[in-house]
Amino acid sequence: MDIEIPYNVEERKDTGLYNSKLGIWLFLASEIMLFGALFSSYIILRSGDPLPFLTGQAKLNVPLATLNTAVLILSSVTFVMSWVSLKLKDISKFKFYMGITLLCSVLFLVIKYFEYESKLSNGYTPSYNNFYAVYFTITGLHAIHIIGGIIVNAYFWIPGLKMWKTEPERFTNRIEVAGLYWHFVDLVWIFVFPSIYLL
Amino acid sequence: MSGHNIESHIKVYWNVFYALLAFTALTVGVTYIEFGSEFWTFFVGLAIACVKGYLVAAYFMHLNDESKTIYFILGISVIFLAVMMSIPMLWRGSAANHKENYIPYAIEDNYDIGGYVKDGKTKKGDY
Repeated sequence: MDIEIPYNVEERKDTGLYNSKLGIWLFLASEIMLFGALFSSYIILRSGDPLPFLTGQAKLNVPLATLNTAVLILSSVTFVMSWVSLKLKDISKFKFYMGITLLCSVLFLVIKYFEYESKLSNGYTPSYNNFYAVYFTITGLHAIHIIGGIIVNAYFWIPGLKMWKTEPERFTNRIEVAGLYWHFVDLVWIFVFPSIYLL
Repeated sequence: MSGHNIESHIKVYWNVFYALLAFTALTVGVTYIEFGSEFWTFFVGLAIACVKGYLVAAYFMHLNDESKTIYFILGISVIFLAVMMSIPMLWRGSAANHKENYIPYAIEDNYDIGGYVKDGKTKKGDY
């Protein structure tokens, strides 16, 4: 027996939202607290002992991190364009834009790999000092979020796309919800970049 | 999103993208400017990040036109985030007001580049 899940497409009267949108915003609220706790720890550790942060920051590769910021911003706009393509019922454009998003996400991780590799091969591990502990924890957690996003987005790009034929509106909502997560990951990086690399 | 204004939405999304790239360049650019105090360096850097964050949240995440439920959820998160961020600042401010009890982790020439105290002692004595 098939059980139909309610409010996949239509909005609930009490929340004014379809259910998965409410769900993703509750999840993002918990994510705000997760990253907030790490930033809070960063403030405590840095204000307690600023020198390792200043010397450590001077060793970071700013041009590479700036490139990564641009790559992530591009992936965000292509994601929103993939959602717009579904609204316009243009599935080939959806595939194109989602493909670019995935390409950017993988490129972000490749750049991150080179960045980490240059630190770790020189002995700057998370246990080296407080700066590297903060650097690896925050950027590492962010990178894990990128990996999670890639898995979900890749699913919607090929195997999950079959829902488009049976329930196009529900699929469009799925992409909107996945997009909210992806833009949040971009948003976190927008604050990580200046606070870890520049200031 | 209604069908007839999708074109204008697309234009807005790409304009936001160009603005975000410009603000990223600005974020890097202002680090070369001497503001004279650490406060202003942080203030300007984080202010630009807030503008970028606003652009992503308002346009890509459609927060400029959303349900009240979402504003309610986010409002609560922001209040708790503000409390959590202010705790370390209040604690640090309190420590600065009681400097006689406050011993830095390490002082001057005992520092190695990693921030450890080389001989386990500081000029103010072992701790």
